[in-house]
Amino acid sequence: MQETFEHNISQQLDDFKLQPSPIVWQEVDAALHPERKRRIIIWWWLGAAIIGVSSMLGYWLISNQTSTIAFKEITNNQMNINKAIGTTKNASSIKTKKEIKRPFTIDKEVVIAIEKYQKALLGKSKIKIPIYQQNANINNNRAAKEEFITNSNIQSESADNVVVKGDNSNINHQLITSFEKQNDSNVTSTKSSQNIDTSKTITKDKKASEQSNWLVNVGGGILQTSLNQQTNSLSFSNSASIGSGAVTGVNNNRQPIITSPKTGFNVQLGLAYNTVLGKNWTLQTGLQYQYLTNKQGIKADTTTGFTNSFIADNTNFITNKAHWLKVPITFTYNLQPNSKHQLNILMGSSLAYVVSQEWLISNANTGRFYYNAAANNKWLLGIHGGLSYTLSKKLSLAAMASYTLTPIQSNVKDKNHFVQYNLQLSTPIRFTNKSSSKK
Amino acid sequence: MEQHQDLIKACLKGKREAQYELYNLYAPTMLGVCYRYTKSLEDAEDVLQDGFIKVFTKLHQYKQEGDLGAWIRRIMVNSALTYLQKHNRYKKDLQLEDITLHPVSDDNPSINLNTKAIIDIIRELPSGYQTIFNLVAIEGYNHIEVSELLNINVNTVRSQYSRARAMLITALKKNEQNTLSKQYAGDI
Repeated sequence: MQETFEHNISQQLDDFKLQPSPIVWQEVDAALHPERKRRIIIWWWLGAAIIGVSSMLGYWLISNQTSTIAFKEITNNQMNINKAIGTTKNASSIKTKKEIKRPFTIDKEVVIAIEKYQKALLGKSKIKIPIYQQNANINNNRAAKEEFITNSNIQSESADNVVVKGDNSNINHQLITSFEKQNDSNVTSTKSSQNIDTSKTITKDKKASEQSNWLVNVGGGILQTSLNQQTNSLSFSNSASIGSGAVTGVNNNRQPIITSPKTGFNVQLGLAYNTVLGKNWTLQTGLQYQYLTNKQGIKADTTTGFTNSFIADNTNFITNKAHWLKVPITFTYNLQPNSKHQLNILMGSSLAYVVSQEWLISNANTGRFYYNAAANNKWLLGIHGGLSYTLSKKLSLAAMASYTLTPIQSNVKDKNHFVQYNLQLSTPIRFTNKSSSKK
Repeated sequence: MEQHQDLIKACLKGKREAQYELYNLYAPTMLGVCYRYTKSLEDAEDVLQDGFIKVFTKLHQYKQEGDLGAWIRRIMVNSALTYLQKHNRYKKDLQLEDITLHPVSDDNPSINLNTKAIIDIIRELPSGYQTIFNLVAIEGYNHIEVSELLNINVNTVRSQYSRARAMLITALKKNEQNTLSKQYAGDI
């Protein structure tokens, strides 16, 4: 008799099943594969290293180019100074500060002025003047243009009809230095070292602001998530229900339902630093804040009794949201460097730190959604590309597409990635002084 | 069984997909087992997690002649006992005292309740009774085996089981009466 009671209970409880929450597997998986976490960390380091090396390479390219041009400028300017003070020394042999001082027999004040002038020029070692800008400087200055025509043997042309284009490096450098000298309120006649110094500093600042500048960018666009769903070949267990008391078996025909979230949006605000790498290339980096959101159709999962578990539904929606701090590195190729309205191709990568995130995780195997803050990736590596167009001197518009290589959540079989299509407006913080540019 | 052998081989090679497949195959049943030994679903999931880590790390010890499900179940039960002995909220109830041998009841009530209701009643028993009843009545361990598992005297197991059984029968009868009275009142 007693056997029957135990036997009945045992038989009745034998088929009792409960669907565990997805977190259990994540914890088991993490305990069994700690090296997987390590592999992910290695990828992060690799990504960071690539970004670091790219930045250093960019910096090196800038330094290398500017120092070469700056040296040429110094030499040319020294030649002009010599001409201005009337020395007959061969300009090609003048290379150092000491050499330029030696043959002078002029008064002490002039020597001091020249020394200050040289210091100002040496300070330009970080400045690079691209050819198109040299041409622009000449085109904007009638006197410069006339001298250019003379030097380049253009006959019977009015200066107004001549537009300087292409590589005229040799002539341009001479002209630029020559006009710098003229604008310096005449080194020899004024004998005012202070005036020379100030005017050169203004010129240097003007060029620097045109070459490397700070930008504020603001934008936004649509957000999608691309899901690499890993459905399991196993049957879907429609198992015991704690709440209702109904216990069902395994339903082999039922397919788990995972619905994609609605297309969301993102907004961004950032500060960027723009550096000219060459005639066509520029590098932009900075810091951006980004807010991303979309809506997922879900309802509470009453079959398991877990408060953290949801199933797909088309009538109730919950908002996913995330806040990022992002460091993008963008290489820009200028298709029309000499045009007023420039069209650029943009490409680059970014590293985003997820400040906070409430994003539902989907599990195709159970057909459920759930939250798990511990499963969220804190760092997201992404790539982006697009086009930008200079609307005016103060405004440019970019159309960008970006994709996060790192999935939204780690230790989750279904890999969700962010896909964004954005429009972004950029404006420089510091503009060129209009009065100085007219000179 | 052959399919399981392939799965086990893949798991032994550390294949993550295979481990996930095996987990999905047995996790719902094993959570049902763990749930009977604990007082909350969270605790049951903790036991399940510990149990599956042991399953995968000791899978090489599994002799592929027996039923894999039974082998995993034994690991889950052991994990549950370890968990109960480790956590204070269960530990106190598990310190079973040697008591006078309690006469075994011959009462053999019919069970007209659903699985969920029976499990809830078992889970309402004090942890010591709950554990011993689960081990003896459901897992089918004899009193000597239970005494070894819990490191207590065989007589204590016998008496505790007898008490547990009596308490459960009383609770089942009470529950059944409540259900019947509700039915008469038209609530159900």
